[in-house]
Amino acid sequence: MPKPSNDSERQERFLRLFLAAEPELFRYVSVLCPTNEVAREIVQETALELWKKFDEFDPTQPFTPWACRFGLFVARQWVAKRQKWAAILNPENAQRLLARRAELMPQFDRAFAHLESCIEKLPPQQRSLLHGYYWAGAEVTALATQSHQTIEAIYKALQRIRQKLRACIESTLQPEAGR
Amino acid sequence: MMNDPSDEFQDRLAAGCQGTISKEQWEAMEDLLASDPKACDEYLWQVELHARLASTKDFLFDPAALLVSTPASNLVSESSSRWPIRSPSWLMTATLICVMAFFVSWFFAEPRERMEPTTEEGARSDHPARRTSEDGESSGSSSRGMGSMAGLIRSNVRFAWAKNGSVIAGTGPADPLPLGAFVPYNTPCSTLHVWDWSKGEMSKVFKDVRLLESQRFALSPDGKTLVQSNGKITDLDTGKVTLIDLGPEFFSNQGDQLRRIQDLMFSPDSGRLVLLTTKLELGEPSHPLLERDLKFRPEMLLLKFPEGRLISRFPSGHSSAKRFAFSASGDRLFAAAPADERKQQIIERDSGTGKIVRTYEPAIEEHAYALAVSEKGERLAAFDGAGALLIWDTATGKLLHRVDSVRTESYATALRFSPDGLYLAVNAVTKSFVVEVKTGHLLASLPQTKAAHFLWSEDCKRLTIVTGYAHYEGGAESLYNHFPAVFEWNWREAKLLKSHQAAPPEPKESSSALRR
Repeated sequence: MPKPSNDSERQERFLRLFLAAEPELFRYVSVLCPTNEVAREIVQETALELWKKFDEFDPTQPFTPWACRFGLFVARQWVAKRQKWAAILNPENAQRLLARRAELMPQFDRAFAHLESCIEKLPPQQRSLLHGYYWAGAEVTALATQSHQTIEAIYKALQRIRQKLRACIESTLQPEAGR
Repeated sequence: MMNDPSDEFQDRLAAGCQGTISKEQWEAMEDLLASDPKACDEYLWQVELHARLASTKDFLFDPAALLVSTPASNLVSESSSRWPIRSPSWLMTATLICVMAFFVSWFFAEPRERMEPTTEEGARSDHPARRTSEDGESSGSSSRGMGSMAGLIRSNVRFAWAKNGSVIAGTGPADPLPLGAFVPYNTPCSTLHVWDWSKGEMSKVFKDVRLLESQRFALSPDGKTLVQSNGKITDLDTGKVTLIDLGPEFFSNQGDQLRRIQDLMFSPDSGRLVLLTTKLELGEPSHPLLERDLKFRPEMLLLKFPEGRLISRFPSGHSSAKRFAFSASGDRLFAAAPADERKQQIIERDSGTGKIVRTYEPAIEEHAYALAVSEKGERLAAFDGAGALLIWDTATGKLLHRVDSVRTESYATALRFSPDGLYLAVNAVTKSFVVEVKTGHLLASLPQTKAAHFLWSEDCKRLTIVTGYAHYEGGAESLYNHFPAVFEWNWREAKLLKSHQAAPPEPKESSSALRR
């Protein structure tokens, strides 16, 4: 049986495009379903759909918007077949908020350019919590157990950290706006 | 009633991000989002921050930490702030690699079992989207090849058909071939072949006309003229070749090529030619080391044919002629909105000026994979990738029907109204459908696979179906290109009247047995 010559090339091309698009796809899907676990699940399903339909992708078009459209479609399917309830925007709100997000995107890009420096300003304890929750993938129950706090306290702490980061970003942006 | 930016709103939003919000709380928040733009902005801000934290790189990550096994007991303590990264990106990469490995191993392992699906379910797994060539032409494998490795093989033949004639043109080897021929995949196919099934089954070979799969070409609606993206016009009656200046086929830079002409399409009267092109634009730099960014914009050029004079040019959303439709008079052109626009609507333009005449509501949920306009121009049909066929009244712009009964596991890529405008033919991978335009009811479901083009008889009683080319696994050579075949149906009785289809190659075992 002849071996397809372009198979690995195709996979590489897909991976390259997908990995570049993945953060934005995740953020796009997060608008629809802000819970990380759900958004990740939808992004994974989207990756499968994109791979299945990759032959259809027009390389003259940007990949990320194409991927996002699939993300929206997969999210809708996910709603239909979900086993348990999860927070996902209804179609009307989803459409409006995604359109609004597109408008706000330049502002977001400017603002979140300061995210890293604002994280660095956090006290060690908060940075550690942020790290465990967002990047290390630790369960909140484990975070709570290890820090001798309640789960609610961990969630509240995370909320406060996000508020603090936002305040930091906004204060950093103000002098820029005044320029 | 919850108000923004109340603490309650903030708490619920945080709970939404954390996955701890209740259904009732979420519904209350959705109500607020529906009525309060400020709440929407707040929601977007919070969610964006939450998602950016989760999706971007680990700001605290130190590669050295990968060498250290961190005990779980140090999760929150300061000493534990160097964890092996487990960001979504890494998880996704690993998942994708596993998925791809699975796909590839599945495709290559035990192909014989998958080659002969005995049920429709088996056929469904071979989604046409994976096998659609750049020009939107179906490249689905034959029934034996379905669900096999064929979808991973690059297409090396290409075909075009006359919209209103019994003519197919395409790439082929040096010698004539019957319709529906099975040609070993490795056979060079770089010569123009033309089939006219009203005259016979064998192709006429134009030995002097070089035609490659990598080229784009279109047949005039009457099947008498072939135009290639390199500007060659071949008169298919006489074989005479003339030229039209279409500009460069490719943008070239030191051996690297970027296709400029993506597809071509004739107007119904053959007096105009549409070029679907890629336009290069300089944009604002996206990186400090760049002075400008190079943007690629799809653009449609409408030319007088065969003179080549430019009539109009306007932005285009797609590069495949399948996703465009002319009105019968040619004065209107219908197309979906650009693929990256989140609201996908069908747009009607004046083909002379490119001005938008109408934008059809409702928007397409996914993408418009096929479009058709009735002969008299009073109806427009589009297939929404979400699974429905939509039919509009072009005089009022009103949606008449949303037909879900044609939903299959595949997209429709070919639609054709009957000459009297009463019926609409719709393709799918394993079936072909006929829908009554007036009611939106499904009138017939034909067991015709791989339909790529429809042609109605004048009395609308017969439907001729041209199949797209496909890969075929089996026979002594293992892999074949299965060339287009033609089937004529009495669609009301689902009765096959005539077919132009070569016999498939004998299986490998039989061939070797014969040789012995």
